[in-house]
Amino acid sequence: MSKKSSSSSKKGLSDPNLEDKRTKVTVGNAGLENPRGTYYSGAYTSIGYDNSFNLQDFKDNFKVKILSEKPYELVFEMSGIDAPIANAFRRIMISEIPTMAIEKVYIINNTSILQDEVLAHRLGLIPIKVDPRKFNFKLPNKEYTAEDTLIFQLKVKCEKEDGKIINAEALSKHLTWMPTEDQEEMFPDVNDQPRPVEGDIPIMKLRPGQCIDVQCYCEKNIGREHIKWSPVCTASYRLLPVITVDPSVTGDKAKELVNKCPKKVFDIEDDQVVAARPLDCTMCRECIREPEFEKTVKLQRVRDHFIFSIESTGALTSREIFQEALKIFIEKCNIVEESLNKLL
Amino acid sequence: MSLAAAPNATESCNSFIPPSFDVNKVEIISDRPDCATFVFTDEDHTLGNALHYVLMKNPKVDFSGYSLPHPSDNRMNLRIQTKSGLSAQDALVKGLNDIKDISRHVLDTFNQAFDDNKMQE
Ligand code: SF4
Repeated sequence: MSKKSSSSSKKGLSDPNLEDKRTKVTVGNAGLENPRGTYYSGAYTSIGYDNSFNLQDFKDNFKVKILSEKPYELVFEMSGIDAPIANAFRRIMISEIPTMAIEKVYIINNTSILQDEVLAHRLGLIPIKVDPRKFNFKLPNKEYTAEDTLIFQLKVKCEKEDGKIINAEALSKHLTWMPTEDQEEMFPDVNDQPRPVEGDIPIMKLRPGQCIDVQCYCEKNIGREHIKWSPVCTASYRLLPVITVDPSVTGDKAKELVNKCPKKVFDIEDDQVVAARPLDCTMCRECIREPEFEKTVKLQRVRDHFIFSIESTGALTSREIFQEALKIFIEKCNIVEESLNKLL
Repeated sequence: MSLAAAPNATESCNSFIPPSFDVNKVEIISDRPDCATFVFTDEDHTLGNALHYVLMKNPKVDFSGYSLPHPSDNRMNLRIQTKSGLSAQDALVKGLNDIKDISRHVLDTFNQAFDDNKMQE
């Protein structure tokens, strides 16, 4: 590990102005001030601060707090980690976690008004509820096997019966899984069997006499290849807002400021304005818009405090998506290391 | 990268990462030990920026920088220059290990946060 600096430097910089620049991004009316972090190890050496990476310091500072969890939507705070690493997690969640999606569609009959290729595209985008970790990547120019392919059949015929139209809509629930070989044993639990995440996604509307009959082949791949394989609807983060109001703002001015904020971030305590709910702040900048408030209100964000929100498409839970992302990141590093060793 | 050629990937590829049909993930361009450019295949800002960051945080690294020469090219270049007798390759290996250490700790802390949440309920 890197040498431990003799001065206990991890307390931060002694100069409050520089410390502010090091740890926060300031939001002004004209734009952001010092949005870039300083990551060079020797950046603050001359003033006795060791900016190099030290695992123990990282472990002491790093914190995670779950803010809300629903199966498919997770919001949590992560602090003590820098943007390049947090951003890598986010990017992996969006484009490098494998899932299963319909890739090849064999059209046996399609008399609907939707063209074959448009139908195939729509089918591809339907999220499939199946654990992708049970499958292999399909190798190009190889036969389909039970380990890398799932087959769904979509057979809907619209008819008129006693003046009533039946099957006027082909929905995702009409996709029926056709197990091949021993696939039924892979999913012994009926509730766990492969199916579209939601049953009521309209695929197309039909009129009497029209029908579709297609076979869909699902393959495993990642979002970088096509977004239909991305396991998330959105995976994003924002930085924690900090709003500091000068103590000179009191009385009517304080009330005015409190009322200005559309998200009701401020409260008045002892005739002083305090930002009681900083998490609600959307950085709309209304509170610093007027010149007099611009001088007294300071809008900032903490550079190493991220509020992640992960919204899943349903194939994996949000929690699993984050866990997978970390495992993939580690695996990526292993692959590079192996390749380096081969070169030596 | 020709997909028609016989793949070098192993038969079973039940990993998280799609099978790669290239022999080498990384190539090294270097004529002295303390400076090197590493050419990564199929990598982008995800690994590039993360590596650049941990390398800059290493006191023995003088310079690190990465670039994606062209968006439709699947390559990423990472330049490393070192001091104090550390070789550029060792710096890269240290960087990779730092990322792994960070990720492992994040994973543990994340799981711990859920356990704590459950206990409170
Ligand atoms: S930036 Fe907008 S939301 Fe945030 S405190 Fe100011 S007025 Fe309120």
